[in-house]
Amino acid sequence: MGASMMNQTQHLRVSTFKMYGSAMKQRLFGLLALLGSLFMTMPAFAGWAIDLQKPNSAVAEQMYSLHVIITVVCAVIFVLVFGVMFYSLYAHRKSKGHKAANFHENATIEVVWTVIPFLILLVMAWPATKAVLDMRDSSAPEMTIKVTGYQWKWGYDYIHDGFGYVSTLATPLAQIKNEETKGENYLLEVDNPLVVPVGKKIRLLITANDVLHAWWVPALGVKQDAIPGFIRDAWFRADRPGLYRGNCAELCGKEHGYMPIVVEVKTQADYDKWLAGQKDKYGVGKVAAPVIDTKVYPRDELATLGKTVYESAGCIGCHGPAGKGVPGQFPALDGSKMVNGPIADQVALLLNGKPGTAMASFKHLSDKDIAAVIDFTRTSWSNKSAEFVQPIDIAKARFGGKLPDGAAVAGDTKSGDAPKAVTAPASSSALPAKLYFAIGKKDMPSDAKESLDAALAFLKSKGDAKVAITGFTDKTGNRDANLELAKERAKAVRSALEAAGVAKDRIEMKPPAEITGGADNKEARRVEINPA
Amino acid sequence: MASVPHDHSHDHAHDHDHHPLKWTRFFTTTNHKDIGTMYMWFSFAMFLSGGVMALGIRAELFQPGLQVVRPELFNQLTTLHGIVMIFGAIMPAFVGFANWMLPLQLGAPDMAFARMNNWSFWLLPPAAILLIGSFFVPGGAAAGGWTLYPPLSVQAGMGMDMMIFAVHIMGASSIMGSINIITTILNLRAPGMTMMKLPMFAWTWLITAFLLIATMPVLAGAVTMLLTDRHFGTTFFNAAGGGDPVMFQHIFWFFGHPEVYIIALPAFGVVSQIIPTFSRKPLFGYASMVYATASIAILSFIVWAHHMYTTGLPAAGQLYFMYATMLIAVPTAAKIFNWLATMWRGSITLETPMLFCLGFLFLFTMGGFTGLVLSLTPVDIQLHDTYYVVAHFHYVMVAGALFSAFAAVYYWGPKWTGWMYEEKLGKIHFWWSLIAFNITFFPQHFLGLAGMPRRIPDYNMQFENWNAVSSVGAFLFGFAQIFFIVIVIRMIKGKSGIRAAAKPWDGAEGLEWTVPSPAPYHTFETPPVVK
Amino acid sequence: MSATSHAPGKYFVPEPSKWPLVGSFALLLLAFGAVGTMNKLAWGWWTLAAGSAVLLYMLFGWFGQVIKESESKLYGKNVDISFRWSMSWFIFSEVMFFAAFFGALGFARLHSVPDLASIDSKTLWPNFAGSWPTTGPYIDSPFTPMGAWGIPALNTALLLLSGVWLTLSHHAVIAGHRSKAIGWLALTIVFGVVFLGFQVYEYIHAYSALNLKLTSGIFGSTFFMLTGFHGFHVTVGAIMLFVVLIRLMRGHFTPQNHFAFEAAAWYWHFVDVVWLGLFVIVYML
Repeated sequence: MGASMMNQTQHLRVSTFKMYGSAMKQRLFGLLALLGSLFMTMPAFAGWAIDLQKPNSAVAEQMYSLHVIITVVCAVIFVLVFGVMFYSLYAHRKSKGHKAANFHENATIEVVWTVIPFLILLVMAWPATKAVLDMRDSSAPEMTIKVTGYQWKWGYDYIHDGFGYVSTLATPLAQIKNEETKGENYLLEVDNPLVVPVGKKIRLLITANDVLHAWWVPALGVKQDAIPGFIRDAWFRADRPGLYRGNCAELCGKEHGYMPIVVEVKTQADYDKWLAGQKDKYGVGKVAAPVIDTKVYPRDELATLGKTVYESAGCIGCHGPAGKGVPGQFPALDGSKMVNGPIADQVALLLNGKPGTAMASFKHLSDKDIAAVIDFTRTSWSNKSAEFVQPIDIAKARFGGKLPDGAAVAGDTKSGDAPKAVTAPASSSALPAKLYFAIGKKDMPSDAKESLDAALAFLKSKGDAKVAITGFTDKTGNRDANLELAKERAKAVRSALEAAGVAKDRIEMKPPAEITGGADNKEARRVEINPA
Repeated sequence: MASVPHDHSHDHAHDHDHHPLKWTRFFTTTNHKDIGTMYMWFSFAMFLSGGVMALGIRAELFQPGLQVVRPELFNQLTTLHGIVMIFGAIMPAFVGFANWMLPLQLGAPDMAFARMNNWSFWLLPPAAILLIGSFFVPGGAAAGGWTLYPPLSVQAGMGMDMMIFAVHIMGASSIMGSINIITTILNLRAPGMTMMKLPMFAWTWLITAFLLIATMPVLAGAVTMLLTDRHFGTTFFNAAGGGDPVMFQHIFWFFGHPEVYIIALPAFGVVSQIIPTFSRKPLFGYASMVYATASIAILSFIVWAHHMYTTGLPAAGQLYFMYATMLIAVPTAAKIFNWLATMWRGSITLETPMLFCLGFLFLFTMGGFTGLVLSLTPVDIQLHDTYYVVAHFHYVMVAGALFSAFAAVYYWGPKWTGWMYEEKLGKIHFWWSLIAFNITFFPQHFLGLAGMPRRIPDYNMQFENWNAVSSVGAFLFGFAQIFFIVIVIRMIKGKSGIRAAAKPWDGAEGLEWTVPSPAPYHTFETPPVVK
Repeated sequence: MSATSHAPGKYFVPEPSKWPLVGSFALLLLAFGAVGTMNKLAWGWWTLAAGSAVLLYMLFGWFGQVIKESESKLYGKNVDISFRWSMSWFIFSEVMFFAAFFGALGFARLHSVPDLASIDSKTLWPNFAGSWPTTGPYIDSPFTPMGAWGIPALNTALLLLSGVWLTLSHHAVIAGHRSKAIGWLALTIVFGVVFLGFQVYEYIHAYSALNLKLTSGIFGSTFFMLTGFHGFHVTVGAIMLFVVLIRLMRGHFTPQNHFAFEAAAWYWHFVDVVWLGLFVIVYML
């Protein structure tokens, strides 16, 4: 304990000295820092931590020293001011017979006690300004990593090395539920830490997929909110190798407390080795086509595997162990139309996610895992869907309906080894395409783009072909109004196609044989685009 | 917290003595004392409900692991604890004091708009029903933090809608209340009471009311945008449509930072009344107090983004907001020095109201210093959204607002009830609250420094011991407030056996002490003349 | 306190009144009704309708009471000054409400949209140009913005002229020419109503011909919320002026004492000024 305290103190003095020029100042700040760190690190044993974590970057060191200095300045003023107050309470008490004076103004002293705090603040502002400028200077990075916050996990993309992975909490549920002894790094451990080389300036491009998160590693002096749709940058240069732990620091929903961050700082040699291993794992730079799992599995086997995936991939976080979701926030899977409806929709949803919601893309999972979790949801709780999928179906969906030429075919692939490096563009299913409208609405649905793209692709691929647009409505409401609504919906699709540059004469409006129909009301509120 | 005053010592020629002073009068009353009383009881009820939520939070955090509440409920508790305490407990308490005391201090017969005054109060129970009721709807109460940041608050269930409408209603109540207070102060002062003769409590409320009128509509705008983003397809806070989640934070904190002073300034006013009384010496630097209060109010409009250092403001923005924030320390320090100079060479006695004011000074200064620590952007980067911030704002809010509210109850309670409180019990309440408060919140500084984020239901073992200490302190603090209600009820029932004189404090100054205790139902129907 | 015994004394304190309680009950119903409606619950509409009915009852009752008190000469000089202070502060609060939405427009246009098109953002939105007006980087539903020099310019002229008519009416009240005052005031209201009619037409045009909707990204959001709230305020102002018109016809106002007229006029000028801001910032720039 004593040794580490000494180390920290010295280390602090060194860092403080680095910041300030003149000898006089050095002595002053050094003394303050010494005092502060003595005070702050005294009982630095486990469970009673009272100080900022030991810095492992120049920026974190500046933050540390600034905190020590300002705390000491405040403590000194506090003691002085309240010394005066307690003296007054002691000496000027009525019970001691003190008679009240009657002064109530003194311009000089009022100016003095306005100017002195101002000067102290000026002195404090100087090192703080310098630290801000250093902290925000993310220029000339030696490496850039994209960090994405999800509910509730972190994604790391090594954008110049062509691979990325997801990092989730590794603490077992049993420890959280107090059924097992908690480990030393309880809630601060992950499956795949962010790995970086020591001494390199690492720039992070931080964003989020669903709600606000914040990427925070105290020892590296980085805390940056992750904002969906926006990129914010931050940087650090780690001084020493080791494992550095932090948390999400912006409330992001129910499992906000369960998305830690672990950064593993390696020596350059170790990092290079790791990097090569990762590139190998994700098939970066290989010409070889991905390996496709064509084996047909028994449905039970997939569903059993699916339960494990459901729990480990994060599905359970939003949709709950009983598939009930959270009313008003996360949809239930038990009895859900998506899970009991056309299976292709569910495959597409898992591969692409649903933008603007918490439903992220899960395309980083293996084909087998995705198939398994779909089969699990379709046979669990009260769900009894007849349809089920095999890994090969997922692979086909990834590549837009059919396997790429020359895809290597194997009996099995290891879980987690998804062919991510060769991700195909999101599938746009061929015609007929359907667009589902909201109840009573004729505005284009927000997910219309895919179907429109399908129609555009179709028209583009066949120079002389035409498309026919047919509108439908659900059963409820007045029939005449429904006829009108169906027509309006079809017109909305036509205008969208025209807006996308399709010539008028290539679009036909085809009235439906029956205005309503379809498996359910959602299916009924559709516009179909068919080849004419 | 006043009993019904039966003592009609005023000589009324006309009819109002026929008004039955039954409890049902509270529904239709236009009497500032009735309305002030209702505000205070309402505030105390909300203080207890917010307190129960806080104890739920602290019970869960007593140990690592999940024991008491699920994480969903934990987030609902932290969110509603914040909103209920700020909008339900602290603000109505001070509006209650303003209602009771401003007409008495100004020599006015009532508030300027006595009927609207009652509406300001009666809007609060519907808001409380919306807030508390939201726990019982599908999906539960709002769980995105009291700051309601989108997109999390867009994702939430109907509890969030109830929260939004509750905020609208409470905002309307605050705006009407503030218009009433400003008009009363500007237009209903007794002849001869110039602005620079106003009691400090009136001055601080005048400035507070201005802050409320300026910022509450902005909050209303922000939550309206939230509502349309949730239900009508607008994209104010959604990047997909060119909006920005951070924009909500800018608008929210443009309200939120002045809100801090909306809570603190009336507390300053109370303290500025009480310290001179028990020092038996006029307030030092009255004029500079007024100017300091006004500068704090103005500065509060230009520092909002210091709550947002980690959103990635450009360096120039971070520097500007850091400098402006540090500047607030100057007028705040001037106020502290003024209070000390008021005590200096006075003739000090330490009755309970004075003790609570000293507790206020001590704790608020501590909260002010941690505020200065947090104003430095680089330090804030480490401490933002950690327990250090939780400790900081509880030192400012609980010490700043709650302690001075207690001081006000002990100070003006005899005027309201006609009875003195029991001094010994009051002192026990003070020491118990002070010690329990520090046990609860001082360790939270350590937790934050060591790296514990706020709003988490579970944590690593390195935070175990201080959390346990803090939880024990929280329950002690909670019990102290049960004791407080006993003291107040005993005061109303006259258990001390000491009737309050018209002026129970020998050092007190002001018109409120010229009317009998308890204050008659109607006072100053003919305005007094101030020389 | 008996109000009459003081009339028209320095101060006025009203009798106990049920209206505040009724108003609070109305807002409780409205809030629950709105929550229910927005969450598509069966009882939502009914509760909302009931709340509106109770609110209307309260507004009629309360303002009726105030008019009655005013006509009974209970309000002296002091009350008049209180009214002036309170109306000014109320309008200030309204200004701040609009400031939030203008602020949102400014922030989105000057900060968020350019940021979404910045170099770093290319990782997320490779094809977003960041020009204005925009639906944002993800919503793909192009629209034509509303031109400034058609109906909006006409509407500007209408509102400005209505302000002139209102001032003429006010001068007539001061000069004691009641019938002239009634005429000018009626003309003011007609101009206001025509303005609203044009706004409705413009909305229909935007939805049907321009594909400009509330859901058209940040432009649609700010455009409809700003003009919509302004339109709502014009409606409220027109109702206020209408009530004042009826009171004017009933001879409630004297050349010396007509604060209700002035309060409604202040409010009308406030919505005028907001419109000028809208015209310049939303339509022209």
